[in-house]
Amino acid sequence: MMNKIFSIPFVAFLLFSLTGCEKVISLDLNTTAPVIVVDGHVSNQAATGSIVRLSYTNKVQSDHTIVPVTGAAVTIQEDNGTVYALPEVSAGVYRNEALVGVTGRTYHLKIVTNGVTLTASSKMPVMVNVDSLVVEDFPNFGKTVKVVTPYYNDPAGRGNNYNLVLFKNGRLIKDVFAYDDAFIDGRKVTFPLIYSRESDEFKKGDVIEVVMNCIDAANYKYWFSFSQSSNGSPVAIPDNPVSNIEGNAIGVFGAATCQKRAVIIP
Amino acid sequence: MKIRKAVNVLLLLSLFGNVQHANGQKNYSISGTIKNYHSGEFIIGASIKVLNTNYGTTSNEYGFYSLSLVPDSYQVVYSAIGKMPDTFMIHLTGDLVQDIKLKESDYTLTAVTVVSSKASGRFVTGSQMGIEKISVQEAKNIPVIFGEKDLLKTIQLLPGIKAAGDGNSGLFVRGGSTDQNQMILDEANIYNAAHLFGFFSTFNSDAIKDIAVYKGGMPAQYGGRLSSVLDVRMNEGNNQHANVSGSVGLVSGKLSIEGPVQKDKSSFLITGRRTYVDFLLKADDKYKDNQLYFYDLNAKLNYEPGKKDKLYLSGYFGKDVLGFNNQFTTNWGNGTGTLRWNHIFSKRVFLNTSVIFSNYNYAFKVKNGTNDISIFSQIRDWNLKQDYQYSINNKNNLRFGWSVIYHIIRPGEITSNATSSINDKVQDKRYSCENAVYASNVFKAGKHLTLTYGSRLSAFTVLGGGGFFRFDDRGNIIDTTVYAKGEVVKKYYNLEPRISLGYMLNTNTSVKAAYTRNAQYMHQITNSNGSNPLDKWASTSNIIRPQLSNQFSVGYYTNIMKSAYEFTAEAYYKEMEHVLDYRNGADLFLNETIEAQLLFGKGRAYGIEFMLKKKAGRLSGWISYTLSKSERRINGINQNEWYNAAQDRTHDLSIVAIYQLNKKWTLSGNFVYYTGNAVTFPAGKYQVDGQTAYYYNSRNADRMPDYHRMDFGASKQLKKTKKWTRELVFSLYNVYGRQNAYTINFRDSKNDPNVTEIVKTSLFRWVPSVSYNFKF
Repeated sequence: MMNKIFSIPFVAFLLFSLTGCEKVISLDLNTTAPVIVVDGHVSNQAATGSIVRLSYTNKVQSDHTIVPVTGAAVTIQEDNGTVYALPEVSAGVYRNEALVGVTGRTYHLKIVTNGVTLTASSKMPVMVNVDSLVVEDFPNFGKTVKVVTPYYNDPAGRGNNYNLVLFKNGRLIKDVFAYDDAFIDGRKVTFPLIYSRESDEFKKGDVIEVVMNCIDAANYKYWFSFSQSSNGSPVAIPDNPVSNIEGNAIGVFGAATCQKRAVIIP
Repeated sequence: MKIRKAVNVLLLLSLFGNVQHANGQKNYSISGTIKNYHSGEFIIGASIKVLNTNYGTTSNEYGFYSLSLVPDSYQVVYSAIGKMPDTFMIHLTGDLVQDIKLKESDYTLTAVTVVSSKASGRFVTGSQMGIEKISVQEAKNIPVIFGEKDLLKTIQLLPGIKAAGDGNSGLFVRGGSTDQNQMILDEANIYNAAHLFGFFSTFNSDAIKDIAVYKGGMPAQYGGRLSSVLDVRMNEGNNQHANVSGSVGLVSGKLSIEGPVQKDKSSFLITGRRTYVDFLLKADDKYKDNQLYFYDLNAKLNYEPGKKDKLYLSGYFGKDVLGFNNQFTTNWGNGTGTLRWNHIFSKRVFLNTSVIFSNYNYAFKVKNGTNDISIFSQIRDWNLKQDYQYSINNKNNLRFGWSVIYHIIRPGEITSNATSSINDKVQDKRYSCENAVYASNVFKAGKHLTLTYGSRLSAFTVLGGGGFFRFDDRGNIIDTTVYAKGEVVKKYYNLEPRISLGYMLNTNTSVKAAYTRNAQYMHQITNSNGSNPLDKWASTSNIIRPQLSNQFSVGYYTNIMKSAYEFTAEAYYKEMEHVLDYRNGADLFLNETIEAQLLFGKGRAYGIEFMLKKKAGRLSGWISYTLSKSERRINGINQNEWYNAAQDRTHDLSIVAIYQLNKKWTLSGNFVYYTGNAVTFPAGKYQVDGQTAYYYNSRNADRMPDYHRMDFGASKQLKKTKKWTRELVFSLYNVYGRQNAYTINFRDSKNDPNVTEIVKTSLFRWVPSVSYNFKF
């Protein structure tokens, strides 16, 4: 979070100085044999339950069509107790609405597909309440933009991690807002969510939804490294996010507490 | 290892070998100071050549020279770049003091013949290799971006030295990274030589006399960085007449005032530079609350208390400021101070003692909503050193000395108000001592052979207090040990041999070879693409070991057509140990356990550099070409296999031409071509939680597009009066408007978010500039 806040002036300066010098090009890129991608979630929301999406990596120069991994056996075990099966509800989507996560419990994912076994574990953290969601003005180089700021109190003691997701008029904004509490431990947090694309700019009447997920440390590491080096416009050297999946796959499995807040841009 | 051992043994043998036996006949010395006739400033690197012999020397950093010869009659030629040579008949019957004042050579057509015999650039004679020198005088006609004369950008046109990016003043030297260059301004270390993210360097050319870049074969008095030493020397001020000079350009204005305090005895110089883009921004309502500027201040004072002593006090202060609506402001800058005392003990022993201070810091303030936060980080050095130069006899010139540097790093300090979102945090200060002793002898072994051998012994002491961590393989803390202030945490020692030899094949041609070992104790922590002022320095610690390099180089040097042309070729092989890289997903920002984010490994770089230079005539300039490779092997990256360093550029070509059209007009042009940097492009893509992600499988296996560019420049001497000199300088950067790629990113298309588009961002197309320079 901190480096995001403090890189703002630099990013803004560079954007300002680079205006108008962008050009869409084509490149001959290397390709690779498809790799399995795990996108697994255990939610504390009864409406959501647990969902695991399995896919293969696709060519860069293709549309975003997902290549599903079908016919996998997916189970999640809660602590050392019940094993829940996640049946395939649509191609590559495995779901069990009955498995609702509980704070403090650890969830063990197991996937068996084409003779490959993948495992991962994640502990559902304490839920931190979003007190309010506020629209604020944010200065940029040469203009002021509207941003939304979730207000919440970070519980005292290290170990709280957050992954916030932004929707504008129901459409996901493709930016990652992953924070740990290294700097904010025990504080009232009022940092705005600053999106990176001009095309996402908030206008009057836009409905902005914020989902705050409280996540474990391994999930934070995943999303932080994702935001640094995997989103196509890396600030660090490009690389794959640090995955918590054991086995020959990429992606992440996380048990998260979620809450949603919405606000209309005045 | 075997090679290294053998070299060390050789070194010890040779130290005993030959200092003694040259004393058969009594030697007398010719010594003195070489100065500029018009300004009284000393001349660095002036050549002193005894005609029809192999004897000669060059003036040192303070214009002093000393040459020991057996009694005889000699014809001695004193020459320097841009100066008229002077020849003296000398009958040597005892020690002789010969102070020389060289006149400026007039750049009119008749006098343009050999302006720079042996003194410029590379030397055919002697054993020093891997050096590039450029004076402001030489560089002034070469076009650069924004018309802002900048030596760091001009030296990028020389072989083996590459720009860190389009319009960037950062340097990659012989496959090394930007933090492996030691940039010293009047001996003071400059930790961040970049203004405005590297588009300008901190070296204001109006304050600079010259710059010497050592890419290999570093003399033993230098140490502390793996790849190069950039020794930048400030002007010291005219001790004959007072002058005011300055320039008004598109980006910045400069003003210098210099003159004698007491004629012939003391002088001063003050030079300032400030950009004024922000004044233009202020005029625009949209930008009026933003701040964006930098300034520099260079000052120097020197004083000659007596014939044998000279004192210099010099300082630099620079600052960048960037802010938005008073809600975000940041500033960063260097400050240095150097006090030097030259003392001539006898005609043969010259001593320089320096006390040096260097500081770099940044401050960051956020006042946004209920947040009021300040962040501060600083690195500060105190340095004391002595350098002795002893002209033993006509065959041996010994240089030895010592240096002590005390580093204090404040890695990060956060202060905030009660209602802000973050906690106060002051990270433990880091203290360390970097010491060195060195000795090196230049031995004229015969009429054709010159041998320089010596060594530097460096020592680094990591001092407490504060907590020092230990980590496991994955970067998790195992334990923390707290040390009291001043307590020794760890010590490192490195012997750094420096050996070179030069052999004259004939009067115009020589071959040379060198072996150099370097140790680096201070490391820049950055995994961003460009120069970021928040990139911080970390000292060697219990975890971070000193980076080491061994470089072997060979070279061929020849003067062609009565020295009108010079052709040189150098090849090098450099191996590096304990170079730094970063764990995937490393969080470097104000991270207390920064060492947990690091990975360590090896590097290797090799290449061959060619340069053909035309030094005389109306048309001068050079063609330089480098073919090279630079690789890294780091445990934890790229399946532990060798991969290309980002700065690996296979081909690098520069052509520079300067044409003196007539007395008024000088035209110039550059052409630059290089292979694109090694980068990592994705090999696949996927979706996680609705976010588009890219899959990478090989580090730096791809290439940016090739870079090329042409620039033009023209300068017009306006009407000269006895008092005024005025000049208009025009330049056009990137003449044919090539859109060189600065970054290549992958993103969802704006029109169809379901499709990936590849976006090339380029920075500078057709940057014209004009500046007006004056002097009175």
